[in-house]
Amino acid sequence: MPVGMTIRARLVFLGRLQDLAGAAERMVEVARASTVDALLDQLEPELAAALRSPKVRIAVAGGLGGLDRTVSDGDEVAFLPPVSGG
Amino acid sequence: MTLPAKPLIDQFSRRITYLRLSVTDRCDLRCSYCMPERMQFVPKAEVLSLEELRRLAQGFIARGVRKIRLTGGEPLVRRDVLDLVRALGREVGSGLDELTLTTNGMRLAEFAAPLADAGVRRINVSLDTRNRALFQQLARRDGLTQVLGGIAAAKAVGLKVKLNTVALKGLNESELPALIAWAHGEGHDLTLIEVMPLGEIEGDRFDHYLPLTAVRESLEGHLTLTPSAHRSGGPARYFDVAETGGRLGLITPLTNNFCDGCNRVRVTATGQLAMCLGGEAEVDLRAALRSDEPEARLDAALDLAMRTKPERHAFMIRRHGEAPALARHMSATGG
Repeated sequence: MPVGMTIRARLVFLGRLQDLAGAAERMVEVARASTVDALLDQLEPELAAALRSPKVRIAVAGGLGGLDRTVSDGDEVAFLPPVSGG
Repeated sequence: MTLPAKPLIDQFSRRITYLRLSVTDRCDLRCSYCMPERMQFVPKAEVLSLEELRRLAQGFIARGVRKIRLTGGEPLVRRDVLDLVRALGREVGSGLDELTLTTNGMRLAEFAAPLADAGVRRINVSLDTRNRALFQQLARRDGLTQVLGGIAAAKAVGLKVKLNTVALKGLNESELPALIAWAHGEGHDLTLIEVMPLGEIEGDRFDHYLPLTAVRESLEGHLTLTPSAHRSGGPARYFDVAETGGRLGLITPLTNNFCDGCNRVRVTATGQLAMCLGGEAEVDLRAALRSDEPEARLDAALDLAMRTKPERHAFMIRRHGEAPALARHMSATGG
């Protein structure tokens, strides 16, 4: 993609999702106006599938969001694990 | 705001609008200043049920309590805590101005989103150090990574975080300026707390008692502290930190006036109403709740509490090996 057509977002994997992702954070580059869902296409299919679980909560730029949320350049996209053992 | 029929006002004309409600005495850490490694927890049957907690909270709201803080132990280790948070969250904006909680952060990565969903806007997280080895020494568990993940989760979902840090001589003392700078850099307020002499623990509290007057003096070598007009209705005094743009709170039960504006009472996990963190007197609300006339008995118990809430606490740490002023552990009342 030409320069300026893409944005960079920081993915943050919290709690036990960090073990699943094998890292606390990943930077991804996607087309402008991409959704969280599109951004997950950049990850390994298994990890992406796990993060698309309706039980995983998503926060974008400091507030709760969903897979359809549009991501802006420089946004932090955090993935939060479901409550376990409750 | 409509005034309640019978507001809770004690004999020193202090209006009680803040309830600290412990939902469990259990905890997944064993901070050495808080409890012994082999802590004897209360049998489950003695702990208030979800329904009892809900009715208790409603009883306080009906008497004019506007803010409820869930504490522990560690509130997030209680299985049905989210049910309570959701039930009380529905009162926010009508019966309550605020529902909040104090947590050690261990399970916050999982709970941050449902707490925000339920109407919680701010939380306090206990954090004494960002040094993994020291954390393990203090908490007797290797939990720092988990706690920092929890704090990051809270921030990610938009919860306002205040960190509570117990100042400990010779332990986190030298780290305090860096901890404050980190917290403020992350957008979190931080409040320093003096060790309080509650409950028998291993070791000698005197060894790590660090008066905040000394901390403030030493901080002023690194940071410019300007007294702030900010008040939380609690015992903390606040300072704006020029270098970080953040706010620092100091809670000094032993070296300062702590009691004058007291607006709160505490209920232990077994339903004992503690009128003062630093006093033995308790009123049994569980007996009221489990009686044939729970509402009337609860009201009567609250009236009794208002007549007996002491003017001041009885804390002191005067010398080595001194027994705590109070036998009750901090984990019974959640601080």
